[in-house]
Amino acid sequence: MARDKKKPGWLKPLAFGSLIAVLGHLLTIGLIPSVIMNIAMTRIAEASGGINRLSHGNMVTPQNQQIVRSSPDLAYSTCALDLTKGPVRVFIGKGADYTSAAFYAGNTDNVFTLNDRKIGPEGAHIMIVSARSPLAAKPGEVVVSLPSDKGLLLVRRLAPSAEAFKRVQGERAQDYCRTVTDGM
Amino acid sequence: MWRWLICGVLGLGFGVGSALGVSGGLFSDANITSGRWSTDPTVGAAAANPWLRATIARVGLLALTKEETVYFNRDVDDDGAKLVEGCTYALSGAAIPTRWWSITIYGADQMLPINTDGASSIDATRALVAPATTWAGTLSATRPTTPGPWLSSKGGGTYSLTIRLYNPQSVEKSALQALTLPGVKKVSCTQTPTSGGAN
Repeated sequence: MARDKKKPGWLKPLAFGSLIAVLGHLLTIGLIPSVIMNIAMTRIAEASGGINRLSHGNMVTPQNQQIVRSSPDLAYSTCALDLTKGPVRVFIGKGADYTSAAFYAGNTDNVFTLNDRKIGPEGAHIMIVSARSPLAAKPGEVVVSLPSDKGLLLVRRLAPSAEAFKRVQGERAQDYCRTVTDGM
Repeated sequence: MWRWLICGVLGLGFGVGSALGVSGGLFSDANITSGRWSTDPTVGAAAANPWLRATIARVGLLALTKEETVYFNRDVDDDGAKLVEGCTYALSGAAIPTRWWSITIYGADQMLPINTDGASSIDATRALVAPATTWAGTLSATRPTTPGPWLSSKGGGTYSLTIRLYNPQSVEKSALQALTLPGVKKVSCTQTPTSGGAN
């Protein structure tokens, strides 16, 4: 006497596979920015000799380019930000031409940009704080609040020629990015 | 059991692969076009959706928001054919209502093509010398004999161009669409242009 045994089908495994595909897709899309940002921060910190330190790049050429889609017409300075031990203080000197200081959160969002039109002749003093641990800034300081403890500062100065780049090197000589140690 | 395993592995592979595929495109969600140039105004902004944010992280990390800089991209000439190293193109442009602009060439890997020509970009200060209001240049793999700024495509393979508009007068969609951005007209080719490309 034959027994009516139900054979396992493909329907449920295919539904399971589809669910895994959707979850895998969303998880990967969500992780890409932070993973790439972490890689960029690690490289920048290595080039700067540590976190919360400003590093001035050379003129961008095909031979020394470090990051996708960099512009040969700009002089870049970078600082990998880590606010876990407190806020970070930044100074950007006034430039003769286009200058901007852009702050990026750990998910790549450009949370704040200050350009030379808003930088006075004495330069810009900026205090970077974490959203979870705000700190009173000194008078005259611009306060930037990052939604995450990690982030990046990228300073761009227009330098489309060797002469302009030489001038920019002088302009940015006094720029800095460093952890606040005075408790203010 | 093996059915579940096969479907799970294939599903995971498809999910991760599709994520890497869609995030590797060149601003594929771009929704503002000006001629053959296109841009997505949410680049760099917190409003960017997760797919655009992933794409930017892979092909345009550390972009600025549109108020600071608008990035228009193209990988085709004025007739819609892919830009390729084997062809020479005539560039033409006029003053743009922005504080400063520059055009840069990027290979399929989103990096500057490897060459020593020192001509990876053209910017407003070199192209538009007062009192000129228009300019004409060349995009080619060899140094042109004609005057004007040169953008070297040597080593570029199938490449793309990005024009950066710093502090544009307006970032309204209608204003960006109305911009007259530089033209890229094919002049000649030393090989049959390919139709493919990573972008």
